[in-house]
Amino acid sequence: MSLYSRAWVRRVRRLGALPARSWRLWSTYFGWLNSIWRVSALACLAILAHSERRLTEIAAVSEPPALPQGCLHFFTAWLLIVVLARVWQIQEFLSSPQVAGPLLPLPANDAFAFAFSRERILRFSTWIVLDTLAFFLAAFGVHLLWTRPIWLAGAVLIVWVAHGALALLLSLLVFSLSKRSPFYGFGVLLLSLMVFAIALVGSYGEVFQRRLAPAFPATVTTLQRYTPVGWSTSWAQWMVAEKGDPPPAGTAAGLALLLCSLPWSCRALRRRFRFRGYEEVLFEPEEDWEADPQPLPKRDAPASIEADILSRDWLALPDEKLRSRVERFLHHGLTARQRVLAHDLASGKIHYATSYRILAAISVLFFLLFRFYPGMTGWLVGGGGLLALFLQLPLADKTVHGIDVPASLSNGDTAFVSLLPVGISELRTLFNSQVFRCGLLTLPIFLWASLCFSLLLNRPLGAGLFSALVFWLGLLAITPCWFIFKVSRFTRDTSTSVRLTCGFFGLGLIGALLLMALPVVCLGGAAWWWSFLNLLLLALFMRGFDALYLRWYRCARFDLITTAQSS
Amino acid sequence: MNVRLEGVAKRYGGTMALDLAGKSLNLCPGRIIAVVGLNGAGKSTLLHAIAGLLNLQSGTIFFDDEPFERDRVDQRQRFAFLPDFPTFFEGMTPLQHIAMVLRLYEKDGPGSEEKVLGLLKDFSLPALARTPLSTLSRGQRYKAALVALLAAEPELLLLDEPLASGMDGLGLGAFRRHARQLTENGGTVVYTTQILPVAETFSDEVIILHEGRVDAHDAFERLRQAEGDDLEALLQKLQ
Repeated sequence: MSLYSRAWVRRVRRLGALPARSWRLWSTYFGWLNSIWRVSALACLAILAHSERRLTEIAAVSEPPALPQGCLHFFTAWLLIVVLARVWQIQEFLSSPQVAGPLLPLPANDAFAFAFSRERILRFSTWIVLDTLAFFLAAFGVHLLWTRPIWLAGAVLIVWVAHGALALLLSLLVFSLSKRSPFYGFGVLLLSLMVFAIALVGSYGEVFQRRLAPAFPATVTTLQRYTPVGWSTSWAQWMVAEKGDPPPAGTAAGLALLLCSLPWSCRALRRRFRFRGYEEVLFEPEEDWEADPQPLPKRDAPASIEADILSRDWLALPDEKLRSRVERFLHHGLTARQRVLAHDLASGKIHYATSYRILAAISVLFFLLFRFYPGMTGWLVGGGGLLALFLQLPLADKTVHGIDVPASLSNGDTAFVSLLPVGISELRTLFNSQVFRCGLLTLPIFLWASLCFSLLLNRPLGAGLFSALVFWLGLLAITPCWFIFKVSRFTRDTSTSVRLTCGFFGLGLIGALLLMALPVVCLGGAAWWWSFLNLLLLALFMRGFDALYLRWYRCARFDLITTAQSS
Repeated sequence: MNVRLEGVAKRYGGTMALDLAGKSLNLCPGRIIAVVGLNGAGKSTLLHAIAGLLNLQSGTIFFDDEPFERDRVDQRQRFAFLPDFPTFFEGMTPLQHIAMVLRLYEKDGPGSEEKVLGLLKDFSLPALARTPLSTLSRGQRYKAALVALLAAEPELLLLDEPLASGMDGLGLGAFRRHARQLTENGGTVVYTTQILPVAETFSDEVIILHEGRVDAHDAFERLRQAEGDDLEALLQKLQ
């Protein structure tokens, strides 16, 4: 049974696992419609590619060489990759604690919970990688369709506008139902539109150059040659010019591989979400964790608990449990009070052991030490892109009070900081997701940058290293910094600081817009720098809109469902 | 600890949730104070304000004639606030949570283990002491949070709707005993409730809030004598 089928949704709804009006179901439909759109858009492009007139037109084009059979291979690959990405996206979505938590059996132990989190990260990373690959392939496909720009661009735009309206409408509905930010969906839409715009501009660079180059030479050069999608089209041009048509056998092998991996992915999903009593099982479980259930943790008898409590082990200071050298090294930078705090942050996940405690120590050292806690909370929400966090933070001021913990500051003072319990437990996941994302995308970015600069007779190694560095910095450093504006240092009650936040955000917006305009007036290396930063800035804006929304939401604005205020 | 609110006001959007502008509210030590009022009267807002969880529009809160600054650890360690839905690190056990709270309040010295054990027994929690909080019921979670705060022995204990927290009769009885013990040692217990008969029997003073303003503040008996029929009418409205 397909993951997107109505029968699957109906079955879940009938069983009461997902209420009909819940955001979960709407989100399922949203993902489903999104997939339909992608397939539809692909079909439109494929029809264009295979129409006789198009073939004739493509054949008449001499530069770059037109390869209609290449179009077929690449668009087919794109289709499969997009579908595969959706499967992994839904896996990640369904494995969210907010979605699956009430349905899943209680984890037998922390090791299982950790393994589950690890699999979620794998799904998330795979989804991101596949989507990125799909974008690059789409850019290549558009490039292969390079011929008369006007009506092809028009067709793409029509599809995009229709999709945009639908996506915006649905995202507003879904996110208002779930008290999440509508800007998230809108931001994703804007980013997608930007990528496609750049793809078109990169693909039709010659036309743009002829028409716009006299007036805006730097802009044309920047967009065509110094953006990631521009690199992909440059790579495509180079491949076509130097290597010729991609071998059909290789493409067929790739497609076969994808086809094989698709059912494996679905099987993994069904094995994980085979809810006992909720869903009929259509296959025999293999290596299923439920097939060999581990015993639930035994509750100690009161007598043994009493002895444990009187032993004071549970009150032991964290230093006694430190084993790792890295952890000990990090704790050198913390005061005794901060060590307690770092321990408490990690103590809820004691079996996550050293790595979790190291991360908590890093958090305390680098954030609390410099009063960057608001930045950290913003980072938790905006930096990782996990939908679960978008759900939880808007609720924080309404229903979750958080825990206030003391932290010693660098100037010797001591202050309380508010701590969202949800936050720190997701910190590790987010951090790992970011590292995964960076790690997996570094190589293609490095290669594309190197190739692009090689074609431009510049130093490829330096360009590749630099692009990878900027990428890492952007995702790991710039993102959290963006959120260090006034969140209210003392409390999450932001009802009196909204205006200030808006003003600060406006200032940042103006500054960022100026930065984004710089490539227009820059040439050479500077243009390359700024064009890359443009992409990062736009992604940051997307997160910034969400942060702003959260503050407005707490003032009961944008809340389309409830208008009640806490007494 | 004597707590005084001077001209405190808090507005949510266009609604004035707490309006003590130009007025003073004094919470004396050694008293159990019940805060009653209709829904939306400002009961929780009052507790949130004292706990420093709100950015106030105006006013100052004094702890023993010293202005309350939320950033001061020594002041924060003198009181504890328990919301109606306590928040935890869900993976923690009650014992881990209690240990964390004791460390934060620096009350984890020798003898704390026996105190915690006694509290756990009073609230019938020992068997659940090593069970993840995420698996406990609402009443059990509230008990765990309450035990942690009682073990920390704050001078001022702020409780939001403890009588509607899901605690069983055993837990409610233990709560009343420990609250009384806290006040006998010079502490103050402030709690909100909608249950007037309980407030009447389990309080030394009552604060009646209406639309963010303090309509009455005194012992129930004295209020009856002073207000007469007016108080009865007000109580009828609250019933």
